[in-house]
Amino acid sequence: MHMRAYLLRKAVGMVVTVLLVSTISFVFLQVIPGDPAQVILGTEASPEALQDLRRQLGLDRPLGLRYWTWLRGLLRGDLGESLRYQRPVVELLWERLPVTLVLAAAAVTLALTVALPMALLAARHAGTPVDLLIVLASQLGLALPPFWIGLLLIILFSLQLRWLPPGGYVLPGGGNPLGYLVLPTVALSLPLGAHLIWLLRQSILEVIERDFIRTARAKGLPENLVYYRHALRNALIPAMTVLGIHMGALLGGSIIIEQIFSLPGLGRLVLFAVYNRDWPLLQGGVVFIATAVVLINFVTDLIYGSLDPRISVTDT
Amino acid sequence: MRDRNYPLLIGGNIVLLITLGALFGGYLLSHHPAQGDLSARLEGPSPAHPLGTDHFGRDILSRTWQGSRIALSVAGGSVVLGLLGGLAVGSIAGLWKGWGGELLMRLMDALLAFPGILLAMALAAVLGPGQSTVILALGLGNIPIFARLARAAVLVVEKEQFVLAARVLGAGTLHIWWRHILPNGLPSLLAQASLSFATAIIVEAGLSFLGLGTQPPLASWGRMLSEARDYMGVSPWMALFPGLALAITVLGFNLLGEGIRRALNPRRR
Repeated sequence: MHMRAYLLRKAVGMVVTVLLVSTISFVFLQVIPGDPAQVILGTEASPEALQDLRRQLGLDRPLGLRYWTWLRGLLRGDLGESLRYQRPVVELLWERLPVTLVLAAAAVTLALTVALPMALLAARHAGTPVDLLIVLASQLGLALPPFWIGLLLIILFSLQLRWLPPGGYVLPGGGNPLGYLVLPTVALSLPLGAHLIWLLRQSILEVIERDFIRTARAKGLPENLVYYRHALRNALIPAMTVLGIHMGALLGGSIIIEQIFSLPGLGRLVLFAVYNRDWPLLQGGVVFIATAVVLINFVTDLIYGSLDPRISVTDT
Repeated sequence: MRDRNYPLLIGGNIVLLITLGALFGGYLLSHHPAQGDLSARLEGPSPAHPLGTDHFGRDILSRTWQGSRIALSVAGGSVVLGLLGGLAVGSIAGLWKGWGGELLMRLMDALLAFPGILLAMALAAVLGPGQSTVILALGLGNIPIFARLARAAVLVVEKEQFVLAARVLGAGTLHIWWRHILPNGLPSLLAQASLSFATAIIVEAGLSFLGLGTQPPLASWGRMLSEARDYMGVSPWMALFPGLALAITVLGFNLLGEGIRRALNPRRR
């Protein structure tokens, strides 16, 4: 019973948040600029051209009606038509989504694969030089901007050693895209991995002092099992939320990474829209990415709830 | 054994040095950040130009110094905006028990869904690129983070015995907020401020790298790195020094934030 009520509440909250997200996007791109047509064409545009564009974008109608049309379009999956591509925005977004998804998934996987053993190692040797080294490395990882690391990786591995391509991408069927993903994945995963090491180490150290760990040790459970079976599993719960929170930063970070490595993903599409003042594309891209962040957080919340049964009851 | 708060010590000193350098370092420099010498293009480090020169023959040390002023002022502006805005929104949402408080926090959740860099890109398209746009965008993006902390502080503190006692004695909500909630909530907000400062510096650099942040002729670390891109093969120091300055500054603010948090909650490591 608790679980069902919890799910319902979370789902309703999620829908409200998505609605607010679309409203914020509308306010930013339709209300604040005053007349988007003027912003798109610049101050030297002829009155006729402005009038045409206003009609094309539906700007000649009252604001309330425009908002309603925007919401209705969203619900039907219609985000309008791109000015430069002359194609539906949704189609363009779907086309670019796989690249960004693959990049983000690879970055999360890499970050977890490195962070878990590192955090365990640091926690087991807390206070020793090994621990200090790992902690320092993670602080450094947090301080190095991913796009700078991307540049240095290109200098080292593409220009000097010539091991990997400096950028670009192959569409499925056109060759092996793996080589093109290695460097961007490393650059994008760096801040997430560093943060996860820091966080997991801290929560393992907190968990390890609890009574159930003492009990496990008193039972004679080998130290390895104490860490793997008990400490790590409990320490993973806070890490899950951080992962959810980081998804926004990850999608934001991929905008720059895609640009540096010339990857045809969502981020580069939105950047194209900004550079070219393609309003419908920009608005669609912004609402698409923000909604994706809300959905991912919703899913992490559910996983979080199933990992720790206490949460669904005590959640406020 | 006494456990020293090394993050606070190291981070605090880095932040202090960088701030002093940004404020007064200009007196020690002999080159103007925007003035180029085309006969001295892309030079390596030398006594005249300790960090070398860029593709216009501009002194990289002077430009890195100007970059520090821009990084600190943009990050500072966005953090102040986020802190004050978040404090206001979070306090109101915490004290207002009805649907209004709930809606405010939902709005904050929605705002949190926009990655800071995306918000800044959208605003750059609307208002035109520049430092004030970046400050506004990052400030807006910071509001929900501080609002959550402020609201949490309200919810915890208002249940304390001393607050109940003050209420019984007839103290008003505003008085309680000022005398009890604010002093109790401020430390965690300050720890977050330092962390947000670090994030803002990275995002500002990223935006300037994309050409949507600080505009020429002003030097920002992100701009310098994007200019360095075309000369990666010939003069790698162009990409090295601004990046290093950026990394050290971010490290300082991250450590300071962690140090403040540790000082507040000594049990955590």
